[in-house]
Amino acid sequence: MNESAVFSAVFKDVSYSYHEEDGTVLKNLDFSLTKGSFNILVGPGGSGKSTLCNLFNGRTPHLMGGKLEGEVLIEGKSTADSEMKDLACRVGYVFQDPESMFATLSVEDEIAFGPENLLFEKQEILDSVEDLLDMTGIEEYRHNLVWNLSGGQIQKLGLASVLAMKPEIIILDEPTANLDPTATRQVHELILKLKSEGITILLVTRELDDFVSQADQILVLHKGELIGKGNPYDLLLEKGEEIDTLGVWLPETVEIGLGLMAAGYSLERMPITIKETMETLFSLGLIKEGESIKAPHKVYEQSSGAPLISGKDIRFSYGNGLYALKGISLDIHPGEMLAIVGRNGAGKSTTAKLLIGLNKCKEGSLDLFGKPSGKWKVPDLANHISLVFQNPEHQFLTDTVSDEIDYSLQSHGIFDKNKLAEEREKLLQMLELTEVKDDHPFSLSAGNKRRLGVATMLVGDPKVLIVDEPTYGQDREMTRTLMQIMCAIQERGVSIVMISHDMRLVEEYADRVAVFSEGLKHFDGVPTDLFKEPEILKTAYLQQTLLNQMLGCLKEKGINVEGHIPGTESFLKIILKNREAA
Amino acid sequence: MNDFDLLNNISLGQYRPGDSLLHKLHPALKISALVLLMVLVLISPLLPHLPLMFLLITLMVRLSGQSLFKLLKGTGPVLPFLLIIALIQMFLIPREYSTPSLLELGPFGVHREDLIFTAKLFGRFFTLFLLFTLFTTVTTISEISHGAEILFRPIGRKRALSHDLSLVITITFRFIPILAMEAEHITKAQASRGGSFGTWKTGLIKKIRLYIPLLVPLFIAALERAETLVEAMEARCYEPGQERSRLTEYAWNGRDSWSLAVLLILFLLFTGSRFILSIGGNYV
Repeated sequence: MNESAVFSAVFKDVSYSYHEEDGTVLKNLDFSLTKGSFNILVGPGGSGKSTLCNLFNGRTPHLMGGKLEGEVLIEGKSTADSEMKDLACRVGYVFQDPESMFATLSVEDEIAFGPENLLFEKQEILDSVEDLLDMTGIEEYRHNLVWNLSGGQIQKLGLASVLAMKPEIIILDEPTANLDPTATRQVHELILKLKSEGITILLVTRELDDFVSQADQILVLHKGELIGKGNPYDLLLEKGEEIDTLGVWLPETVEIGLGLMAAGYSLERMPITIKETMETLFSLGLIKEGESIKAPHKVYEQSSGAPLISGKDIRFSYGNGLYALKGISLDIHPGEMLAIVGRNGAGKSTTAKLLIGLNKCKEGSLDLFGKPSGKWKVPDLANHISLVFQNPEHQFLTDTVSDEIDYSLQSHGIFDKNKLAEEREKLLQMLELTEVKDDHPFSLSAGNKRRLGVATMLVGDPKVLIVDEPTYGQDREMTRTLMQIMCAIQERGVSIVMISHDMRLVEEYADRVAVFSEGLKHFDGVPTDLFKEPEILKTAYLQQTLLNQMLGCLKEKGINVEGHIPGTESFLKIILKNREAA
Repeated sequence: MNDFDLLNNISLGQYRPGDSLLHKLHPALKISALVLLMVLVLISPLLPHLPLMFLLITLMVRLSGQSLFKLLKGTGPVLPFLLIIALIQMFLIPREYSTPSLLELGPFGVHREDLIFTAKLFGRFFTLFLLFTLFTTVTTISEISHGAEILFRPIGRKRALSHDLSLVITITFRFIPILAMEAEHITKAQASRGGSFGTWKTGLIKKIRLYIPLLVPLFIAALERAETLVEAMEARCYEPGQERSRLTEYAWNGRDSWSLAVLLILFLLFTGSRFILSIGGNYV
């Protein structure tokens, strides 16, 4: 049988190392992508995913050099024998941050860039631009500048500009890593549309959600080795446990399935969608109609003292006549973990900037630590409230970890040598950075960079710490680590404000949640109450966690769900206990 | 105005959509006109050419439907520097004087020549500034790059060189918001660590010193972005020196011919009166 008629890409025992003497980055990879199939490549950070992607379009080894063993066949032709230009037309690669691949200025020109390089006729280019704008739904932005697009639109444009080359295989590198749930869904729909058009798709990701049920094949990469491949249902049943330990987010439905297996139940099929999970639970007799699932209510005790920060009717505009905030009132109390959630552009970051004084509150009133915000200077305010940025590297200024902390201490007015050393030690110990204190900040591991980022922000004992998008570009382990640091800091009496659109974090960690949408606050209260009101989430373009969606479905089936269930673990505990009791 | 939103503070290069004659001109013509008019401004004597040029450009502003005040607003931040330069020019730079000094301040004296020179400096600065802002107000950045490509065509042995040159222009513009955004991120990050960005009451030298730590991360970011961009362009079959086709092409209209004729006549009138008739004296 002719292989190239069936497979778009075939990897035959492929190993690769960047330098002869270095260890192999990829080891004995053996897999193939069927034509027109939808494949997901999953693995934690640093598992070799990008190196693998570069093998598809011939960048490796044509440009990167290194030592390639085995054979990569694209449409039946070995990449080693093909020209990069030919490969580039066959394999479209959408970068993790598509904005960084835009070479022109307007949306229309960007889509045309590839076909122009291929010397397509003007009319042909125009036709395909029209088609792609229509297909990706960014028609109305065709004359926009590429830097004036939202995150979702950037992904769509990235995809469109790669599709314009009419590739047979599309590689998408973490397309939804920083998109809000609504935009994520749109990108997912687009992927399915491509699949129906017969394009082979490889989606690279660090996290799996229930979209995985649509895939034809999952490839699991860990430390350069393919530790699993196959149909999602079989693979997750077989290797779910192992994938979980890699630090990859799994859908909550699969977590439930794995939990059941760990509790000694045997499953024939791993549940991935909500419906499947409910069927599994019913068929195992773990949930029966008319039963109730009771969890302790999460009681949120607001500290009795005056709020640290109190804002009333804040309106804010960046001076272009449009209001980013249209009358927001928000209090922050001592020692609480507040989550501010909302889609991109809902006003979350604007609020954060107001709180740390980078934006000035002109309309409405904002009291920070008992003083109107207008009377604060940014450097003074930094002693009381700090922002941990998405990208910790932006904050690094010096050559060693110790210097980095010293810099912060000095900018807080501590110059005495003994005092400086004492404070530095305290911070290094608290964030477990002592071992790397002489390293260069940029050479730290991602986790330690995060820690250092937090350490520099803790100088001067702030009373409030804001964390901007703790999940941004992080795998599960990193997010967990960061949130655990935050919880430890919260226990010391510091209020934590978490800005996110990840409802799973909110469910798990937040004491209180404020929902922002279009510059207005739609909800302020305990997370459990929020999940009872799906309408609010919908208007804020947010999405319930799978677990809560399932609990909602269970309620519809007449099952009584009460209390706060922060995650699949506690959900499993409750239903298993119910069984024992019965 | 918020000091952190650097993007909003960049007033040059802000295209404002419109439907005027100036907006609709052929991009190559717009660029040539910009260059010709700039040359004219630079060789104009203080009287009577410079005010005439200013008037002419003001007329063009009218024609484009923009407000003169808005276009000139961008000069605000540079004015202090301009004043310092003017003072240095007036008092410190020696010139050949044919007249006695008008004003004596200790060792420094102000002569008629100094005043003329300073007036010319200001006149040219404002005229050029207005001209350039007007140009960027009526020309989109992709028009600039397409226009440049057309103008470069005769230079290259093959068309490919003009493609590359115009791409260089495009990418230069592409990096303005990238750098501004990175700078914004970094200043914010550092300000929230207790740096004194955003409090502009510090002195000029201190202000400059504050920005030095910004440069290293900014350059790293810019180089990283450039590298990614190269990868991305190669992944989309871009090869330097190769011919490319073009999605947008611009047609040359009757109004373009008319405008070109007016422009050339103007150019001849001004240069002729300046160099052949020597109107305006010998101060260049």
